[in-house]
Amino acid sequence: MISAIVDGALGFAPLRDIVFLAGWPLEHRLTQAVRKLAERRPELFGRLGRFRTAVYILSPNELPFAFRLMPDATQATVRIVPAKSPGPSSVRISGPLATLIGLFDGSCDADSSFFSRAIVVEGATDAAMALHNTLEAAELKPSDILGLPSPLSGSFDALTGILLPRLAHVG
Amino acid sequence: MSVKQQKLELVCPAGSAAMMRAAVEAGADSVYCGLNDETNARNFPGLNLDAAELPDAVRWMHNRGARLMLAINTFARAGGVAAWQEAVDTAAKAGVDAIIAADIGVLAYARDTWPGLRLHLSVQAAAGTAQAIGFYVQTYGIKRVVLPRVLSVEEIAKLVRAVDVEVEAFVYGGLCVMAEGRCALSSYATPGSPNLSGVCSPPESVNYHQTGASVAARLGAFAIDRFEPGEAAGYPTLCKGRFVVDDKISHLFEDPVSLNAMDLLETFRKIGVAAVKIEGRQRGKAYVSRVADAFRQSIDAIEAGQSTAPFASLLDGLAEGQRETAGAYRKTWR
Amino acid sequence: MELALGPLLFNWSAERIEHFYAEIADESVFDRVYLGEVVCSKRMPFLEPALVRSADRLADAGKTVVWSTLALPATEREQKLTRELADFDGEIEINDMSAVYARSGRAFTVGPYLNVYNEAALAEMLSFGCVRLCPNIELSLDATAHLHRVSPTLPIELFAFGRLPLALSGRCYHARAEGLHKDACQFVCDKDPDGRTIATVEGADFLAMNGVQTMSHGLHVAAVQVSSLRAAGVTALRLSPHNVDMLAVAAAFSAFLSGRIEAHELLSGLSGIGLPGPLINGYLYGAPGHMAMPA
Repeated sequence: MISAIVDGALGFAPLRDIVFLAGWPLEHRLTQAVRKLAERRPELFGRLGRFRTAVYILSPNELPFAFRLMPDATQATVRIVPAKSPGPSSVRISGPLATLIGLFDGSCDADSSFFSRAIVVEGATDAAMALHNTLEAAELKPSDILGLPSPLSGSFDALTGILLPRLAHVG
Repeated sequence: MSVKQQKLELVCPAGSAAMMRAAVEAGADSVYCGLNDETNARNFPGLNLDAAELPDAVRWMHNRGARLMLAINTFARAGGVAAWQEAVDTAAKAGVDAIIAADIGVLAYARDTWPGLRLHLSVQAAAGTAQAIGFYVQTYGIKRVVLPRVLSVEEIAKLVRAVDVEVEAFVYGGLCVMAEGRCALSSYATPGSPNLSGVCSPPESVNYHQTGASVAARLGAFAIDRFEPGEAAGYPTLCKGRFVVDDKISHLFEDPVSLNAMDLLETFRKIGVAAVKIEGRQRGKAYVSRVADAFRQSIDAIEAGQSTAPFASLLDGLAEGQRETAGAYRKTWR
Repeated sequence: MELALGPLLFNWSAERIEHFYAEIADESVFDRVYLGEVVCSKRMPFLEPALVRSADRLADAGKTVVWSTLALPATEREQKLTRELADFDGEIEINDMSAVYARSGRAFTVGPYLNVYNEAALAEMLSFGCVRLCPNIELSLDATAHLHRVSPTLPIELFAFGRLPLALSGRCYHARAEGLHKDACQFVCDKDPDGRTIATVEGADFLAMNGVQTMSHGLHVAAVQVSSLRAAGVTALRLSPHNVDMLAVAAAFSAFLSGRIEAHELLSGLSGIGLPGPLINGYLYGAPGHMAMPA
């Protein structure tokens, strides 16, 4: 179902619109979203344990940029970085956008995706596993992140309100 | 002992309370989970329940008429036995329906401290003979044994007749080719010991190296496998890798397959197996939803005298290496 | 400190076995010798007469003979053999829980295949009749020392030389590697008197197969200061038979235990006798088993 939303959203919003979003306001918004989540659901970050200070690069195949996350609870940061030179990280997770999203909200089976090589994990496998397991246990909805009213209307809102925040909590 | 045929109990895995609920909503009768420490055999980062979550999880399950079992199935560390005893206390106080244990020290503590607590013998105890199972029944009063995955269906049928205890058999998921609880391959190559720390082929020892178009999967210092482009890749679990013997490269121990014994469910019921178990606490909600649903429908179909064939396709694409086997249940595996 | 010769884990011919134990009886410094098939019951019918004769010869030479049980009895025949051995009046070593039950309280040695990892499990074993412990190969020397502190009078025999028995399967890897089925294996494991080396896809020697058993490629050697061994409660060292001059191996350990040579001299001496793999000791230090920590 999530895949359908993403496919639909991408159908309405060409790639250039997403690229247009890259920049500090979005970074700021995503960073604040993760930090607010940490205030509301501290146990999630407890579950991450020592991987709270790991650096994750989440790189959707379709996009020229990637998300660089350090999920350190109220000190968390999300940066938007060029996919080709994302900087140092603990682990890089790449794959189709829809698969990445599904992976992290639990609607898609990580092992199957991995076994079929739909996603590629480079670097610290344990960090990737910890993040996946944490998000699996979290049962997050888009509104948990940004508190946006649902249902949302318009493709652009759908994209920013559902797709990117989901990537943010990937994130 | 006479064989009592009964409806198969569907036992599903959970790595979190969310996954536990997903399993029950998809049709699980029982769910097993572990605490987030070295006391359970799936001690992966971010996985398992916190002790504080357990009472709520038990309440949720009981409200749904489902059972929750806690796996305390590693072997206690010398000098650190208290942690395993605390896990037993946590389980008993939270009111879990059973604990699943393998260490005779842990079983003895549970028997002596919590006489009402139902004990299941973990697959990690590798009790695959009537004598071994009899020992645990007589000594610790175990009520159920989870069978090692190295037995054939014929052997299981004989065993069920020979022992006076419920028998639980794995029917789906990852497959250990070695006798469980008796395997030190992982700790030989890495700091992760399944018996002692609850991890096999631990993720912190895993590395993938892209060389040209192919990817090498390493566990510690050792290359466990190499994948060419387009080839289904597996997590480098030591016994599923490719190795070289006499200049020949092969999946020496086991092909990267996962167990699927859906076709054998009716046989299991007929020979008196009490419960069937799904492996995969680390695999998440999507996985458990699909597998629980497929096996729920199959078990119900068997009760209605119908075939399980229509439900086989519900599991497509879930298997490790995208392939399935009935494993040791069919003797040709050996 | 005693020296013990562990059970032969490989598929040697009956003639070879009888000759081997004759030498051990007549010329070796071993105090205890473990006999019996631990790995694969299919080998037994060929070997039993030779083992029985060897037992007599070893006993006549003043060695203590101990019979070891199978590590993974599965078939009815294997269970029957295990039950019969559990009923034996002499000394036995138990390698599977099923035999603990059948032994019904009489004395036995806990073998390295049993999962006795902690003091609570050991207390259980003592209550069942355990009079001697060969710790599981995964245990560090610190863990063994802890068991010793809790049960200070229990003799502890440390696995001190040989390829490590790492895993057992229902499946035979020798048969599989030769394209045969386990039930018609043609006893192909007899081609490899030390097991057959398994390498990684990058060409590094890694493990060794021995029928249904998987072993380390490296040879584990407990060349630890004798004082540390004593502090951990170790009263005997167990050497596992290999296709090398075991008399020389035993003599080297004997010299080490009596203080005539140092740990590094023991190691360099062993390196020169044509062992099938490198010397390792990681498990003793709580490290991965393949590692070689400095002595």
